[in-house]
Amino acid sequence: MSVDLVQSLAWCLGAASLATLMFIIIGLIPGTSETATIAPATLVVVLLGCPPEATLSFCLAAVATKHLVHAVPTAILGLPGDNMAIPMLEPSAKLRALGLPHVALQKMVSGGVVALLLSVPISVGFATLLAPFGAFVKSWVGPIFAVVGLALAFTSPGRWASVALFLPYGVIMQALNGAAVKVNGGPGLTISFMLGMALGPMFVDLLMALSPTARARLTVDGPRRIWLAPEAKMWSGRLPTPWSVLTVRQLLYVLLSTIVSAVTFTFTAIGMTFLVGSVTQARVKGLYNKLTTSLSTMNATSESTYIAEILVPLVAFGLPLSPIALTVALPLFNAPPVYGTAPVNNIHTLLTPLQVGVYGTLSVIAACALTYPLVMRYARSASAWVMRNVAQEAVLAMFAGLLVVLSFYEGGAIGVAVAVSVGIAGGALNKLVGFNIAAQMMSYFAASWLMSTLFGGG
Amino acid sequence: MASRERRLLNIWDDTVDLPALLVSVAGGAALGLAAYKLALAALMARQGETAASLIKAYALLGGVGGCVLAAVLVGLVVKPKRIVETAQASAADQIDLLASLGADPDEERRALETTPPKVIAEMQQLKIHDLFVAFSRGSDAPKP
Repeated sequence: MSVDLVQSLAWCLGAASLATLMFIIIGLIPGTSETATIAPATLVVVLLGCPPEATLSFCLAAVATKHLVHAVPTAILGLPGDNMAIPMLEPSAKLRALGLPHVALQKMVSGGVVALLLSVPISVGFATLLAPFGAFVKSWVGPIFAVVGLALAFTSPGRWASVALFLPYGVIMQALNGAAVKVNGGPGLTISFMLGMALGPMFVDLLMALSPTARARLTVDGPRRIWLAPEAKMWSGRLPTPWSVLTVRQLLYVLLSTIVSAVTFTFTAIGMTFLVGSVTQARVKGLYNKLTTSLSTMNATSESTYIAEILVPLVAFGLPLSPIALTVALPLFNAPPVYGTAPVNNIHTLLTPLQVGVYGTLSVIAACALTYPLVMRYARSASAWVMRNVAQEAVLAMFAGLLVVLSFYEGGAIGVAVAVSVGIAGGALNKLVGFNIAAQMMSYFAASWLMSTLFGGG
Repeated sequence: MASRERRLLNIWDDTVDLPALLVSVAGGAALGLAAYKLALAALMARQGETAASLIKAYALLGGVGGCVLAAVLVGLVVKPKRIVETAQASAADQIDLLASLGADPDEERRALETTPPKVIAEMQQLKIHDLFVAFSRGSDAPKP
């Protein structure tokens, strides 16, 4: 082996292990958004000048770990680990009621591990099939963003409201970006917009808390009651392998959902998870089999859609053409001055598809190898500790700090002002009519082409 | 703040104390920004020849460190507003429980006949197989 290859492998495994250890801890805290945690961490790794194999491995291992560990609060506490865990709450709650939270956890984590191992090669393979259309896609970026964005808006919880908001919201975002350009010059902001949208719900709740007329809607009677699942024999001896936990049919469903999510890489990830869950529940008979099969396939989908939504557009086009690529994985596509999309100068140009496949597979294997035994052994005691010791105030303090630091880094004081304004506007529309973050980000990205086409100038 | 009545609010899906939250959020923002600016100033003074973009990146790492420090400090001072209960809320009749979870005796009986042996073995190991069998037989003699 050449020295270069050994170095690259060391970067890949080192970055993947670091991401895994960080996101095992973050993943245990319920409701920690992937966009607000994985994107900033990846951005720092990119900006520090780590080689492309390290940034790719860091991001993929972070995603893999977050979506294995999000099963812990979901199964043990009945609180979603993040938005992607919401579809799994109901079947998890039923197994919890039967006294089987550990089974829910094991099925989710095993489904996730199997999907991870399959999804990197499947996504890269599908991307190389799409790559010949790359030149076409690159010359039609504007209209493609507009069409994909409108479709995403339609599939968001807001439906027609989101479609109606697509252009007006883009105009507002362009106006805010214009304000930043006027102060700073240059092409404007990206990270500040993404973080503002990701933390929108926090801004809206904070504003409501400050308003005497709105506060009553947030007031609660007392401390929140959380029922911790009973102690069950959570593997103390030899751990079963993830694939031996699943039945043949469950493995088959995991494989199918992995292939489907590679092909549907521009769809909303949470929507796909709900869809796969309801299809599985309809096809499998018997409560126990139904619940365990749907949990394993749903968490498989939450992993494989994420991996596909990052790798397919990255390998095929180098353009962030999916909801996850536009939010959680944006720093792999666009992180000035290191990576950029106009012209494309990022992982797409720096690594061959084969390299992406190899480093990607190694990083998810590293993530699984570290996460799986830890989750299986310490899930219950770790969740109990988090619930008793980690205050929501501390989590929100960190999010507020990250927003200010990253947007100040990107755009100075006006960057912070833009991020807060985006958070208020986006958060309000998200909460009020279900115009979700993916649709908002697409609207922002499509807006410059839409506006120059509709209103001229440019 | 002991004498004042605590005002608990639900912010982003969890319970917080409003004054504590406002101080925490402002503190997180201030500490993060201060750490970023301090790191930037210190690095600029030290290494004149390093690329400006790399200096900013190291400073960003410092800023993120400030955010994590803020979270740890808040975590040490502010306690969570949660009650963690471990007792199961009245484990009623297991058969009633299955019905409340949306199981249907007829469907379960047919399902048990076609369920693969591996799943049956899994259910036996978890000691819920007998429960499901009893539940599915319950439909032969429906309760009035």
